[in-house]
Amino acid sequence: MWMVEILKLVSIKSCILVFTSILITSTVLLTVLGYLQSLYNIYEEIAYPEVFREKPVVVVSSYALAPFTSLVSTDVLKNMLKDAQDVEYIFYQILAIVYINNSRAVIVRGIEAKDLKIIADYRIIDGRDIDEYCFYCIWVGKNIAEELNIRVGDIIVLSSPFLSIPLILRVSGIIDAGYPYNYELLSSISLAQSIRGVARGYVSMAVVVFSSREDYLVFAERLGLHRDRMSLMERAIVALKYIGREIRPHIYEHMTEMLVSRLGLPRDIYILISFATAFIMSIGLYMIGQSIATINSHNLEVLYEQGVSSIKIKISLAIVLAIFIATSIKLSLIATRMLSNIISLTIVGYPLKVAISKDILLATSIYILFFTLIGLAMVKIHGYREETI
Amino acid sequence: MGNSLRALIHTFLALLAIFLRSRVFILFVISISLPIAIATVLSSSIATLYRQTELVLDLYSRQSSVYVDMPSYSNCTVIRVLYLDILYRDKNFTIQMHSIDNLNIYREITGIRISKQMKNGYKYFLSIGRGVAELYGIDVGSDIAVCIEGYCINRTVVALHDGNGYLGYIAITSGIDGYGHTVNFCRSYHNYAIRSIVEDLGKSIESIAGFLSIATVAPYLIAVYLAIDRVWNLYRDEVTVLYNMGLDRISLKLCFYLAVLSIACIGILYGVSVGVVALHIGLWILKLLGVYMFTISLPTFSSLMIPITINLLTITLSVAIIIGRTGDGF
Repeated sequence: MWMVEILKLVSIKSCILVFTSILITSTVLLTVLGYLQSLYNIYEEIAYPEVFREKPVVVVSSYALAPFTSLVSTDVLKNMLKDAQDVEYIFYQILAIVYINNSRAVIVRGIEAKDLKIIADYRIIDGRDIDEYCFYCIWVGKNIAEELNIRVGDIIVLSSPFLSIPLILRVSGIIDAGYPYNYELLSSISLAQSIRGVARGYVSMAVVVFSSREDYLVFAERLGLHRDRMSLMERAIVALKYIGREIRPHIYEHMTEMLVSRLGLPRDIYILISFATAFIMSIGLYMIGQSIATINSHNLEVLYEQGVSSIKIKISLAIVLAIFIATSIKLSLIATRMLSNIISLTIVGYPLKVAISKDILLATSIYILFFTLIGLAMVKIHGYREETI
Repeated sequence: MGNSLRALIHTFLALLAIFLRSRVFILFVISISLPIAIATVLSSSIATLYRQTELVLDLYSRQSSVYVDMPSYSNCTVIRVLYLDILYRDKNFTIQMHSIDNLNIYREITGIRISKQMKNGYKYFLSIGRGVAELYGIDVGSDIAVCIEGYCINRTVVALHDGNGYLGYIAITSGIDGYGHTVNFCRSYHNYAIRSIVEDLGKSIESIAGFLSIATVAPYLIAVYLAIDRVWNLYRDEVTVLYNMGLDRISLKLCFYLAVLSIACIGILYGVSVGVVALHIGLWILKLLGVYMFTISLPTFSSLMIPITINLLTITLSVAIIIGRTGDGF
């Protein structure tokens, strides 16, 4: 009953003010973190085929981390996999970043048609199917073709950072293969090797799909990756580092040490922004937590003088804050997703949408609740007098 | 004049003092400082990114490359790109052919090497890339049929050339006009592709950061308006006293605006400082976690200009609306 009595004294105006502040803060926080998460995940989106997301998959890449600069020998891979049991499927792909028609950067994916058929049930909108023997042919993803107004038979010029001369290629087909392939150029493996400036026998990465999780863990252990860490990661990028003739596998988590590998996008900047944003927001949340008590200080002090303990007052206000936070997070999520659909942001041609995972949502909710309640806990209910208002 | 200026300064200082002592001051400063601090973090990150990309570009700055551009530059050569069907013995395949006017300039620009060549006695130059030649067993002196749009002519292969993967799969000839596309190959004294890609990536990241800065500042603008509204209510009694003492309305409104603006400037400076401190705290945490990190660049004024301008404009507009709404009622 005491709780109802306390809450009756909290003014509606102060509730609106505090709720609006929490709503604004959580929306800003989720927008910033959502976009950062989306940027952070872009490598995985490009490297991991959606169709294998639920399967135990090892992506073998090189120490370069960024798929556009990674280089792995297929012979080394075959050697590594020679004793591996129950490999369901393995395919190679080459990813290269190029500059198209003097206009913008785009990714070229070299892949065999049969592999593309498995990872993305593509269809040819115009032109002919991917032909691995054509050395001057390129296939263009649907969205990029629309954006750059490219048609079958057009000549496109690709400038590759790994070649000293531009490549002049003929558009042989427009492909609809879904995300992310619709935002890329697709070519035969041999042409992509030429664009990437590497000899035959080298690829950017290999995707190894295992029949069972047990085989996947056995394989990972053989590479020197600990079972307990692998179970946390669910899937892994094994990066091979060539040290002389020795090859050392590194697991994905260690890769943050490698910041800019030639043209790799520095991921740590995103982590740093997240840290800094969280720190700044904590100051705001602390003050919001305090404000629900300070705005109603006159009424609350009267209550205190009538014998209601400050702990009871703070518990009641904490419940109000918790309800406000839960509601505002829900509303912020809707607002952030709506904003993401309206605003078009791209990176290397890929559209960037807000990605808020359950983990981020939970962490953000706990973070907001924690700092707001800390703010509330630090307020002195008794003896509090506003000086000027 | 002197007296009225002194009165103005005193009024401004009096309003500033009241403002600084009130709790609204904190609300007002937070609603300005927090978004500016986040915008500073984003801006500093972009500045750091640019510094890193400069390092990448420096590494590749000494590499020359070829790019496609208008033919107006002296270091350019025009080539005609055709796709031809080749008939050789019982084999039939398509090849990309570069029809050129001057072999020496073409060689200089593309860096191809003629590895084998007939000495004399040919009318038209025709060189086949070694990659294709090895694939189809073509050698210098081989007679091949070259077909364009169903019309075939016989030519003799007079040379074989080496180049990187792509150039090893094309044919080079002279004297074919009227077909295909013309392209201008120009020599650049830096790595054109790397520079272009890095700049393009930089622009993408900058636009994302710019959007996030505005998205951060925008919701707080409502809080700025509400805070100014509260400040105005707080000032009312004091303003009435000052008005009754003989100060005119315009001077009072001006002093109020200047007081709010001064606090806003402090809030902006405070926000920038918090942003820089927060970045360094983030950097320190990352180092503590064992993640190697580069030195953070300070934010550039140009990148912070938009959020700061938005803030100052909102303050000006809010003051105008709030004073206008009140009219002459004090």
